[in-house]
Amino acid sequence: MRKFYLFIFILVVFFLQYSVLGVFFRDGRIPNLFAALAASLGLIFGFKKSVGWVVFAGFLLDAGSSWPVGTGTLALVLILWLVDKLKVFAELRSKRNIFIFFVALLALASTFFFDALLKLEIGAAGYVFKDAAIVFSPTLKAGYFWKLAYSALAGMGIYHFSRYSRNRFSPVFAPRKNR
Amino acid sequence: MNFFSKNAKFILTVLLLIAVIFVATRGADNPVKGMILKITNPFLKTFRIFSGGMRGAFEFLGSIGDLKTENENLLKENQSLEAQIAKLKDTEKENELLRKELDLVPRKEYDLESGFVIGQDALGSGSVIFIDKGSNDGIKEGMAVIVSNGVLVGKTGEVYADTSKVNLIIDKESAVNGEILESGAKGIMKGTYGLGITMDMIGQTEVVKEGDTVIASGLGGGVPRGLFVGKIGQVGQSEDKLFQRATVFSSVDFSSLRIVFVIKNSK
Repeated sequence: MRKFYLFIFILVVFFLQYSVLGVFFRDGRIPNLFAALAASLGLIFGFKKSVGWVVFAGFLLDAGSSWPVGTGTLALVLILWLVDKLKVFAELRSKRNIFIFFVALLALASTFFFDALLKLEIGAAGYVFKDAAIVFSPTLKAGYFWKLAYSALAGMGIYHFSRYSRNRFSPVFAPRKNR
Repeated sequence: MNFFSKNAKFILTVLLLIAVIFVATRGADNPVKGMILKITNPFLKTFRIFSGGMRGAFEFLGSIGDLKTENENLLKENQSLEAQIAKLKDTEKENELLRKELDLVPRKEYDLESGFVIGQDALGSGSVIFIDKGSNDGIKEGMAVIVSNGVLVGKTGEVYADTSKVNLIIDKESAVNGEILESGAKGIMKGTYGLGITMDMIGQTEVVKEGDTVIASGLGGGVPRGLFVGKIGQVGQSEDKLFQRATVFSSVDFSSLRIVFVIKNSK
C-alpha cells in the first residue's frame, strides 16, 4: 500500500509540476517539486530505500524536458545521496519548529543545487555531443529568488505528504502487536 | 575502498545514469519520452483544465471589490470603442490593400491545427509549452504556432505521436526573422530569458520608431510571412554598436495560453 501511495504521489507531483503550477505561478517562479521530493525521500527513507523512487521520478521529469534523458535523474540521485549523508537533520526531528525550518531550507538548497548540477551536466553533454542546442540557463534574477522561496514552502508540503506514506499506512497494515 | 563498498548502490546508479545520458537517443526519437507523454497526455490535460478553472474562480473572487470601478471604466471604454469602430472600417479597406501590396498570406488561407496547452517545461522558465497534438495530427518540427487572433507565439520543437513541444518566441534560444512593417527593416527576434522579445541585427541606416509594427518576415522557412508579432518598444544599440536593437511588446500573455493553432501549411 505504501508503494502504491508513493507511486500515485510521484505521479501527482509530476502533474502538478508540468500542468498545474504553470497556471498559478509566473514564468521562472515555478517551484521545483522534484528536488524537494528527492530531499524529502532521502530524509524519510534514506538513500537505499528511495533511490528507485527517485529514479522513477527523475525519468518523469526528464520526459517532459528538453535536456537529454537521465540528466535530471542524475541530479536528483546526487541530491538524495547528499541528503542521506546529512544525518544532522534526522537528529532535529524532536525539535519540531526547527526541523520544519530546516526542511524548508533543505528544499531551497536542493532546488539551487539541482539547477547548478543540471547546468554542469548539460554543459558536459553539450560539449561531448557537440550540440549547441543542449543548453540550460537558469537566470539569477528576482524571479529565481522567488522560485527558491516557493520551493522552500512547497518542500514542507512535499515532506509532509511523503512522510504520510510511512506514518499513515505502516500501523494499519502492520501486524496487530506492532500497532 | 571503504567508500566504494559503502556506497556501491550509489556509484552503480550514477554510472548507469551517465551511460543512459550518453547512450539514449535524444529529442523526439527517445521512446521513453514518447511513451511517458503518450500515457500522461489525458491526465495532464485534465489537470490543466481543472487548474485553469480554479485560477479563473480565484481571479473572479478577488475582483468582486473592483467590479463597480471596472463597470464605470467599461462604460467609458465602450463609448471610446464605438468611435474607433467607425475609424477601423476605413482602416480595414486600407489593410486589405496593404496585405496585397506586401504579399502577406491571409489568415483564412492557413491550414490550422488547434491544440490545447497541457503543460509547460518542468522548471518553468516559461519558454516551452506542451500541446495535445502531435505527428498523428500532421504536425512537424519547426511549424509556426499562433493564437486565435493570428499573433505568432512560437514554433513547434520536438514532436511526439500525440504531444508536441512548442518553443515560445520569448525563449532565448528561439530565433525568428522579423520585419518592421512601416519601414521594411529586417532583423532577428529572440527571447530574453522568457521575459520578452528583442529584435536584433537591425541595420544602422534603418528608421525604427517606438510603436512600429513587427511581423514575421518569412525568411528561413517555417514561419509564414506576415504573422503579427508585436509593437516596437525601446530602441537602442547592440553591444558591438554595429546594429540597432529594439524591444518588442507582444499583445499575448504567454503565461496564460490555453489554446493555440499550429500552421501546418498555407493552402
